[in-house]
Amino acid sequence: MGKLNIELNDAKNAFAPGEQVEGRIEWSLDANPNALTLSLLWYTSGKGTRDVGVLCTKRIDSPGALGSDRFSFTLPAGPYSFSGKLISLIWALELTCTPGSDTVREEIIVSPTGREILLTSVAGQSEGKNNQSGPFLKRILGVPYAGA
Amino acid sequence: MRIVSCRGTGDGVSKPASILGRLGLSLFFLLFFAMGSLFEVFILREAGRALGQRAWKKTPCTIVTSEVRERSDSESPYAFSISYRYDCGGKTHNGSVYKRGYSGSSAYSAAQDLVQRYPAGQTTVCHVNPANADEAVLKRDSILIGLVALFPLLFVAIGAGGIYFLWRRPSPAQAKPIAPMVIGAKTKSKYAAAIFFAVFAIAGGAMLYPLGIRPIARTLDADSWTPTPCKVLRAEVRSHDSDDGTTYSAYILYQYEFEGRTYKADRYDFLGGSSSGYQGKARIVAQYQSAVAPICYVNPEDPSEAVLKRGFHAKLLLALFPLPFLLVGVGGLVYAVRGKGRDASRPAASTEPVPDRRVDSLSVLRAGDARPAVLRPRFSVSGKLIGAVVVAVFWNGIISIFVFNTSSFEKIFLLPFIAIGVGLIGLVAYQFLALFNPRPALELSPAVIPLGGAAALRWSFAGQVSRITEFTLTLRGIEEAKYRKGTSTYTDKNTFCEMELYRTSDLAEIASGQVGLVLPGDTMHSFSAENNKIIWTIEIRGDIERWPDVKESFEIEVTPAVNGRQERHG
Repeated sequence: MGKLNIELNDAKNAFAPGEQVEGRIEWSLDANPNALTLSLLWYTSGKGTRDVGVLCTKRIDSPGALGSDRFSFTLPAGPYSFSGKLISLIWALELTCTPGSDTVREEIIVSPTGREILLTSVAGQSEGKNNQSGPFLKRILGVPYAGA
Repeated sequence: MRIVSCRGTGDGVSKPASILGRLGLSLFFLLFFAMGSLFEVFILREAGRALGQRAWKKTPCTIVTSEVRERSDSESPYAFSISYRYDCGGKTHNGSVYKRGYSGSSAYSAAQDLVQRYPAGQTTVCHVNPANADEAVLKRDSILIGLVALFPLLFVAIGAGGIYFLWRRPSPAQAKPIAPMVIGAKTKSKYAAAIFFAVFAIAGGAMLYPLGIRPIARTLDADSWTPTPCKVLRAEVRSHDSDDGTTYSAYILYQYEFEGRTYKADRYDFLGGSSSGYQGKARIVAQYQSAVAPICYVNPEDPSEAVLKRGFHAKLLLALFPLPFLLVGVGGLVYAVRGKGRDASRPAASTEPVPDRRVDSLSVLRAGDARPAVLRPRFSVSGKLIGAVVVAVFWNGIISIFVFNTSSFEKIFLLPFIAIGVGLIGLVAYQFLALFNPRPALELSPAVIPLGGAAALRWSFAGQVSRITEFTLTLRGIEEAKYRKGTSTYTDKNTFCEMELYRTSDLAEIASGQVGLVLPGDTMHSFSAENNKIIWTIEIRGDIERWPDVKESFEIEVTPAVNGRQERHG
């Protein structure tokens, strides 16, 4: 069994939307593959049936059994990496060898805060609900008025 | 704050079953395999015999006698009895077998049809066994029985496949590629949908002629048939047992004279078949048992053909039963083949190289987003009523079949289902009353709000707004996950954000108003994939005393933050 590797620049794995994802892929395989494909993708995990979105791919034809290459992808504005009670959305870089099923995946986070967005459950945290609406009402633009 | 994450769960990866569980399942699959194999052997043996008859020698023969013989056998009391003569190997032989395994019919007309097809004195072709010249048949076995072999093959495959997958050694743990899941997924599902709907269309089309068009055409044609007095020879309600319970049919054998000849027929109407409900059939039978000189209608072109009931009657509408199948099949097929627009959440569903997209974070705001937009409710009031009616009719329709076909004791077990049916009727009434509620209208400016962005929300009501005692406006963020379990599809929802935007009991404020809102920056924007969604809604609730409340939900679009980064909310 061969070896595939994805290495991100500066071992950075959290990115803001629109940012560049850069790094290097390495492969050391038992036989010459037809192609290697590096994909930037997101997929869902959790209760729902999995959804997948492939944003960009980089295909290397006849790469030889041993080698390395650099890559650079630009992230889109969304969707963000998030995790809720039912759904998680995970961004990843995935290197796949053809033919065969050798695959390596490097998960990254795409979020403006640099952290996965955590979605809480309202039913399970009534206290949080009140805390949330308090500051929110203070942020209401203008004074609510009737008969507008 | 409690954070619940379910990352890494529920991706269709199930825990391996225990040895005991696997043994139990193996037994189950083994039963499938054994039963399937047994039926397969029987069917293949029959198919082999049918194939063997293809080699039998075609020989001219002369029909000597041909008649319908009545027997005491209650299952198939009418038998086509025939004798014929043929020459083979320089000798004359006598045959009396119509078809191997033929044992008569429950309907007189079926046997009568054969008498007409093989009248005495006619010369026809019989098939003689070359190995035994005394063995001959008029009609050979159908080799189409071979096709039936495919059915038990399904059981064999399920059994063998189940055992294989239960006991196969799992492949070494390794990451399964995800990107290829997208490749051709749309095309595959498109073809799967097309095949599914094609089966519907073919089944509907194939059933429509024999079950629909033909009976209706013949009923209309019978309007020109000659009314003739007839004598009822036999009238009874016949019961037919099936997996779906017992069904009944009215069987009436009658005799009539036409142009000097005596005929017998047993056609009541052109629909035939059987259905649930004993009483209706018993009434028909009683009516003909007591009739002194009932009238049948005889086809003047073929006097052996007659019917008791002609002209339009409500039961004929049942003949249109295959039509919805055909329409759903054809409609679905067209929709599946044409396909719908590509899901925006799947920007690149292929492995073809996709050019790096330099995404301007501002591009998430669409042109014209700054303009206000009138929001449309997710489900209109009339839509809810129609939905409730459809579900209530469907549920109660099915339940009523059981209610009318079960004994009083059995009805006790149906009580929970009847209660649901009554509840659904209540829901229909509730939704009907809700039609007369004041109708809210919402206007959001801008139409699309980025995370951390601000918007103004205006509301107004049409109708008798004075009936509303309290008005609430709530912003909700909902996770929605769709998944399959067996053959059913389920959708689970979880509210992750709930904010009360406005609450008032003041009539003037309820009638119309405006509120500003700022969306939190540290949450998730709207997201819509095939099975997983993040939905943002504005919900209006107006309490009305002793009447269904106003409850409307309006979906809004929340986009990623404008600058790609935003302030961190504590």
